[in-house]
Amino acid sequence: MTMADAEGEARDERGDARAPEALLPLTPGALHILLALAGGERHGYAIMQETTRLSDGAVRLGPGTLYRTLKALLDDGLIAESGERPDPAHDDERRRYYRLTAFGRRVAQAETARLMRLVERAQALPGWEAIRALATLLAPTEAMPLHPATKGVQ
Amino acid sequence: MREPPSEFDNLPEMSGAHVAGDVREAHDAGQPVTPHRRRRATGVPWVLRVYRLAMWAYPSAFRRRYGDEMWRVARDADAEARMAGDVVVVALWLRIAADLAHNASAERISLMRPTVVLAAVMTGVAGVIAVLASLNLYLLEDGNPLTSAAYRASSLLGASYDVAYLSALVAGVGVCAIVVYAVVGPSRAATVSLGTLAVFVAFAGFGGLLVRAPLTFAALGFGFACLTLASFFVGRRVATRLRRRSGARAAVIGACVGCGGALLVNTVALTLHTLALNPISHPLYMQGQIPGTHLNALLIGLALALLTLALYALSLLAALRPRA
Repeated sequence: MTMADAEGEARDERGDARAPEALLPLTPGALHILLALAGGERHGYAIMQETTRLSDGAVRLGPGTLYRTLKALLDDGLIAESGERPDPAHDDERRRYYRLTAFGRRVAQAETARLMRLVERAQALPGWEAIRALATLLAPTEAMPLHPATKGVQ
Repeated sequence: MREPPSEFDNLPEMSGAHVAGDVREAHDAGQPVTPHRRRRATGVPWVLRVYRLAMWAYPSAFRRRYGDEMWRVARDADAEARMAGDVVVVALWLRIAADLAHNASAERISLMRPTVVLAAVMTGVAGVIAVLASLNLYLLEDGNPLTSAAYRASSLLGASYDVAYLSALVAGVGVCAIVVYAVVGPSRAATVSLGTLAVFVAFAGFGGLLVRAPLTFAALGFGFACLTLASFFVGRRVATRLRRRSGARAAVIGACVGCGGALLVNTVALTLHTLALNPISHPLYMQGQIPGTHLNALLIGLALALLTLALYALSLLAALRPRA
C-alpha cells in the first residue's frame, strides 16, 4: 500500500471534511469507475467490464486510462484499495481490489446530481421538444418500432 | 520511498500457468475447451508479449505500481475478445495501442514541470519553423537558373544555403529526440533508434547526391554527422549535469539544448544567406516576393525563425532555472 492509499483510507475512516463539489466536474472515466464501484469492490478487469456495461458500450476504458484514473481517484481519496481478498481458489490472489470510500460516494452523488440538473436545464431549452420528438421517431425502440405494421405478424 | 519489487518482470511465465489453469477449470466445470482456451493454454499470445515490452514506455514508478495489473487486464480482455473472433481482437489491440501511446506520454508529461513542457513544445515549434524556412529556401533556389550564377559570385551564399539545409535536418532529428525522451525516457534503445533515424534523415535529405555527386555527398554527410554528434554530446552533457536535480526530465532538457544548437546554426545561416542574397542577386531575391504585396517569403521565414528562436531561448531559461 502506498502512502497515498494509506492517507485515503485514514481520511475515509475519520470522515473527509472536503466539499465534494470541489472535485467536480469529474471526467467521464472517473464517474463511470465510481459508479462501477458503487455496487461493491471490484478488481481492474471487473471495473472495465462494468463501465462498459453501465455505458452500453460507449465508454471502453483501456488499461492505461483505467489505472491512471484509479491512481488519481486513490490520490484524491475517492476510492481505496480493499484489504480483503476473495478465496484464492476462486480468484487470482495477485489481483488488487478497489472499493468506494464514503467521500467517493458523496462525490459520485454530487456529480450525478450536477449532471441531472444539466439535463433538466437542457430539456428546458427552446427547441428541445422538437429534438426529443425527432429522436423518438428515429430510434427503433420496443415502444415505437420502425415497422409497427409487421409487429402483429410476428 | 521505493516500491517493493514488482511481479512485472515474471508476468508471461506466471500468466502462462494461470491461463493453463483456465483450461483445467473449464474442463472441470464441464465447459467446452474451445480452441481459444487451448491456444491460451499453450502460452502467452505474442501480442501480449509485445504489450509487456511496450509498457516500458510508462514511467518506472507507475509501471512498478500498476504494470502487472494493467498487463493482467489486457490479458483478460484479449482472452474475452478471442472468444468473439479475430476482428474483435484486432479492434481491441488497436484501442490498447492508442491507449498506451496516449497514457504513457501523458503520464510522463505529468511528471514534468510546466516550464520543461513549455521548453519542449517551444523547441518543437522552433524546429518545425526551421525546417519550413529551410524548405522554403530550397524550393525557391534549388533548380533555379539564377542560383548557380549567384553562388559563383559569392561562396557565402552557397555555404549558408548548405548549412541552413543541414542544420534544419539536424533540428528535425533533435525534435524527434525530445519526443522520444519525453515518451519513452532515456535508454540505450532510444539513442540507437535516434541514430538510425538520423541516418535515414541524411539519406532522405541528400542521398540522391551519392550517385550524382559523391564528393558533395561526402562533404554534406560529414557536416551532417558533425552537427548531429555535436548536438548529441552537448545535450548529453547538459542531461548528465541536470540528472541529480531533474531526474528523468534531464534527458528532455538536454535534448532541447542539443536541438537548440542546431536551431541557432540554422538561424545564423538563414540570416547570412538572406542578408547576402539581395545585394548579390536581386532577381533571385525577388523570386521570394509574394505577388501583389511588399512581403518576401525569405524574410517571413527568417523573421519567424528568429522569433521562435527567441521564444525557445526564454522557455529554456525558465526550464533551467532551479526550482524555488
